[in-house]
Amino acid sequence: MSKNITEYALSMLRSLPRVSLSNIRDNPRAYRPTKRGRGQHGGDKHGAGNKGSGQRQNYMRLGYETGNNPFYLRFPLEPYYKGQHLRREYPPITLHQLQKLIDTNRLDTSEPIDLTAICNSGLFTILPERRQYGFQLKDEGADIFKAKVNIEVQWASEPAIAAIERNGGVITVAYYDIHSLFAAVNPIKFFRKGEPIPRRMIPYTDELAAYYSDPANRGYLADPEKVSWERFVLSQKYGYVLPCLENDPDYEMLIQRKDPRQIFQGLEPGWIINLKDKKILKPKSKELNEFYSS
Amino acid sequence: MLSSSKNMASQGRLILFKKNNILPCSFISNFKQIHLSSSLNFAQEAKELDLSEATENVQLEGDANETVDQEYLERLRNKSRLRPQEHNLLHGKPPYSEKFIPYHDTIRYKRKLYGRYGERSDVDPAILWPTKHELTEMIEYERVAHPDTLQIMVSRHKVKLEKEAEEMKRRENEINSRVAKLEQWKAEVVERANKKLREAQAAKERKERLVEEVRRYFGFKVDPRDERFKEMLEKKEKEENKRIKEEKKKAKQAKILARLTATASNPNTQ
Repeated sequence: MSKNITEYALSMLRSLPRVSLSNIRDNPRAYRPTKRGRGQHGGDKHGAGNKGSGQRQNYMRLGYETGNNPFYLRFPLEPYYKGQHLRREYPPITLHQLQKLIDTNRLDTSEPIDLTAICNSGLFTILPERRQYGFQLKDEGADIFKAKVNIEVQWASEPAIAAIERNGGVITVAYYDIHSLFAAVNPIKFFRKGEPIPRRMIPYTDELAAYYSDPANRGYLADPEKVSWERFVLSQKYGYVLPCLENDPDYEMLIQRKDPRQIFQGLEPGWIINLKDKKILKPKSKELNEFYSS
Repeated sequence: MLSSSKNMASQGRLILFKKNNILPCSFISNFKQIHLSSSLNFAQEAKELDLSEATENVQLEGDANETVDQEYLERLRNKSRLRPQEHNLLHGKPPYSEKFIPYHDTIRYKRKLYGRYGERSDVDPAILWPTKHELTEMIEYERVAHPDTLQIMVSRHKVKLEKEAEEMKRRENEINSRVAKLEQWKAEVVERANKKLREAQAAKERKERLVEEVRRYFGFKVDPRDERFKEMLEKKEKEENKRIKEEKKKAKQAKILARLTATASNPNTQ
């Protein structure tokens, strides 16, 4: 029996296929299974791409063109923009627009008209934060301008001055520093701050000081007698008869001028306006009064 | 914030409780006490009411059984569900009666409170103006920032304008003086160009003449690149130069001679 078995085993072994590359088992760890990535997208690059500064997310500085001459340096200087951030702007208002404001009852000609009155019409604004330093009066519509006004603007052309004065009005150009402008443009906003009304400062550059002291420009710092002479000179130049201010029924209104330190007509620097209780607070201290009246 | 809303909630609960029950007078007075102590939002109003007064009121109410404390009624009627600060704002009062952030302690906030709510804000108006120290600082700032008076600025501008005008005048004069000489300079340029042309022409003619002479010397047409030709040309040129030099010398001598004879004939002119 045992012999038969041995025989049988040997015969079976003989009939089995030989060991070859095709039937041997792989070595252990010969194949590595694919990794299972973690996260929502199987552990990918998180949208940052492959290789380079994109993948590392250390982006180049703005405007850098990997060694090219960058666009922002490619062209020479633009010197006409020099000092652009310091330049003053005077948004225009024409005589035509002024006449329209008066005709539509947005301006009261029985009172002096100033920056605040024009801003209160709601149709014109001044943005002091954009270095707008007030209105400039343009001569457009000078021929149809018929109102008699006492107006204060921040810049005015010669024909505009002539047009105002031909109709028996008066014009003054006055400088407002930026803090005064904020108060003058929106008085309610300013009064709600609970701060004393500031003093209007004198012009801060030589050019401005000269402009506002010149009687030919009707500057608010000019000598009134010289201004009246210049009024006459301008009437001769443009060929009109200068109406006599003294005989005017509105003489009192026409000769009203603000103090160079004053921002609002009738309100003095140093006062505090309590809009809620409709009260005006005035400082009592000697130092404060001295400071605000200087 | 948190504490105030909590208080409101507790009030609301108490009010509800009261609403649902007809309460004896003693209980009402108890409630009043609780309410007064817990109300922080209406501290201002609570301050005005004295506790004893409140109990008095309540006793009166108990008697009449119809008049109720106005405040209580107001609270009862307030169905807006606004937060207390919003309710205050709506009724023109300062939003908060207590401070709870550092900003509320600042002068700026207090000024704003006064500016918006007037005397109701309980702000002392004295703080609205700058203090003595601030005033000196302001004066100092102005002194440094705007040191010049108006007169100085105007006169400085005048000087600047004069200077500019002077510079302009100087430049104009300079240009005028140059323009006066312009025609002469133009003529000189033309003359110089013509002279150059003439010289070039003369040189060309001389060269041609020399070449022609050399050709005639050899008697036949010779290539100008030929060595012999070049040699001969050089020689001829040398001769020519020598002749010119001699001519020049002679002319010079004649000139000197003429001058000498002239001086000899009338010596007074010297």
